[in-house]
Amino acid sequence: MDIILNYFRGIIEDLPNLLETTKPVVFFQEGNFRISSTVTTTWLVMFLLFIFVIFITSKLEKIPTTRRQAVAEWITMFLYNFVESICGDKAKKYYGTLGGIFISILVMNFMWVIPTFTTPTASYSTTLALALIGYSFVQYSIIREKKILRYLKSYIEPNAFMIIGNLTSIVAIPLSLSMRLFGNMFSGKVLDSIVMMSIPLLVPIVFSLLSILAGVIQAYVFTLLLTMFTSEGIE
Amino acid sequence: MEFLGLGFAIGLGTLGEALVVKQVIEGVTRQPEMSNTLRTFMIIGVALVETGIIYSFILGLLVWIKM
Repeated sequence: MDIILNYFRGIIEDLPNLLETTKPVVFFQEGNFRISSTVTTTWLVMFLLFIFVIFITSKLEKIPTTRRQAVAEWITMFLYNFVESICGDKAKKYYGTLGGIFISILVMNFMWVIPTFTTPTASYSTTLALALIGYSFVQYSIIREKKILRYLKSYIEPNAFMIIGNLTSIVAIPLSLSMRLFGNMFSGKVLDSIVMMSIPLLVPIVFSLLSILAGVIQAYVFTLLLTMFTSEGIE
Repeated sequence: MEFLGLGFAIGLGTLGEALVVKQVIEGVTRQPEMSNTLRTFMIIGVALVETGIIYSFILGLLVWIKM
């Protein structure tokens, strides 16, 4: 009994070092400019997706004969139906960008599957950048759809006091979007290392399955919320 | 003491998520044809409720780093 208790006591004493071990590796730093493993993994994801997209969209024909064109059409139809179920007829303009964000987040959430790779979305800079880009795209599409005067007027409807809430939401929405993605991925990482430290046999598999589920759901939710803000604004 | 409060916050938030899922399951048993719509709303709702839990987790991390 004492052996088990001492074992867990040792783990609890090790916990403060946990945050150090989950930090990304820094390759190069000069002032505020830093290239860490987060950035290099993001570059790798971009490169892989670029190659993949070029591969499956080469030599397209009107009637699909190759397997890769069937895959490309399936992915496109899936994203289109997803955006169309919320936005309606105007989905054609928006499903490209929203689907691109979905696919990038999905692939980034899964980079921890390969050993020694860090998940880019478990770093706050990545999720903040994604949320800012996504929310800027939402605002841009609303302005393009409504024209600038009607867009500005929508801040003071139905009365002038609503401007306080509307201006707050400009800051609050990207903050909550990025915090949600970051918190989920980072908590998965921390939980994974705690389980790995305490019970390294078989139990981590269960938590890895949970992390996979969380990765899919968070990518879905991120895109779903962006689509909903778009459809809310343009109607 | 801070961690106790944050633990309470996380527990209550999880209870809220459980209530959302419970209500959706009841709705699906009553009207199985609505299950697709209800699933979408459930995922949005659970994700929004989870924001509070995640904020508590991040606050916990910040307190831990400060200690």
